[in-house]
Amino acid sequence: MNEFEETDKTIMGSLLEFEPSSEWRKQLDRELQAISLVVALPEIEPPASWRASLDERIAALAHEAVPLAGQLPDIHPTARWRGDLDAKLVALHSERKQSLIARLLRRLPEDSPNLIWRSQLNERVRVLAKPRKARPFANVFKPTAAVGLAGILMAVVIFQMRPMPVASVSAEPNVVDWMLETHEQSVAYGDLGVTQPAEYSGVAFIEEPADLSLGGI
Amino acid sequence: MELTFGRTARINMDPSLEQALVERCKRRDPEAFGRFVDTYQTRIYGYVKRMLRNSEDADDVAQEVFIKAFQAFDRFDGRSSLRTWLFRIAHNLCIDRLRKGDRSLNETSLDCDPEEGTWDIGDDRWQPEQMVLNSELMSQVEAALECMSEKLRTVLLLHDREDFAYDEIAQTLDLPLGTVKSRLFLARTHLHKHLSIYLGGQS
Repeated sequence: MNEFEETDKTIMGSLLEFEPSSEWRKQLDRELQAISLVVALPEIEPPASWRASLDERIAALAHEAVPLAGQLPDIHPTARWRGDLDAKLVALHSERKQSLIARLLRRLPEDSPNLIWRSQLNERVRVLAKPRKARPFANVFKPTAAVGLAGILMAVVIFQMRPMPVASVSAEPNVVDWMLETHEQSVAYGDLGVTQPAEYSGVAFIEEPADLSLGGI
Repeated sequence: MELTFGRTARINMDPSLEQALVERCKRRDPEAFGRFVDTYQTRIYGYVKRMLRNSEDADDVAQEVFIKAFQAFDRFDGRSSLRTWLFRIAHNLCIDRLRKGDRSLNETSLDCDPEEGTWDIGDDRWQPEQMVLNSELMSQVEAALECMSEKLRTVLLLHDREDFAYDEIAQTLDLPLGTVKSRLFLARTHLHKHLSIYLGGQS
């Protein structure tokens, strides 16, 4: 047992041996009694007038409360309100000041466009009104060209969709080249001492390949 | 007293005549379209010029109005009057041009103070009736119009210059009727305020 274990054992032993005094016990009992008394206190219900007053104040606050802008209901003026406003505005228009301005505006001088302006306008309108030149050849060539183009496109598409032919040796290869190539390959196979593949078997330049097996020695 | 600033007759084309003209214009008949331009060019030109206040722009836009009309005649369905339709084109083009050039002025600008200027209002010969006929007063009216916002000016010009009814203006500008009426009131009040020095005797 080390030093720390001994200390722990001493503390635990002292705790277990603790004996409360009678005075301490009395004090505890008194406090518990006081607590039970507090807990046993009767509920106090607020009077109805108090509640009514509270409700009134909350209602007043609800009236004062301003909802958020997004929650504001749309206010549409009634037709009658609108009609009244229109009538008032029309009445205002006929006031002396207003009618005076209206008369004044009617007497403003005219602004007639000059002849240059008019001739420019005429020219622009003439250009717009000019019917397009009839091009009879275009009527013939355009459909022809379109049909031709469509044909070319179709041919291209068809050829694209066909399976690509496998590249094959021409039926009539250059015989000299073919013979030379075959000979070189046969020599190579001979040098290596292996049998040439069957495709070259028809061209047996080495009629008796060397027997490299031990049995031949 | 004879007015110096007379106006040409208001556009009151016979409906059947207008219908026939429209039909011919729809078929792009140059002669009919020429008559159409003859009928409306002064009104449109004046309106555009007062809206844009720039002579070159006004020339260009006024032509553009008729070009647009020529191109769009086949889409004119007769739901509105020809005049309303044409002024709607004119208004839209003016707004486009004002936005492009950012030439739309504020409600009032610094150089629009009617108190400024060289007007001798203490002149004993000053008479309201004569003032109305005075060309200088007219130029003051034009200047006051320039100071007005485009929204008020449009309604004012269409109602008081072009004799548009409230509902026609509402249709042309795509506005509620009440808005048209309130804008007209505000526009006239604005103009009166700017001309109060000269119109004091009459109001």
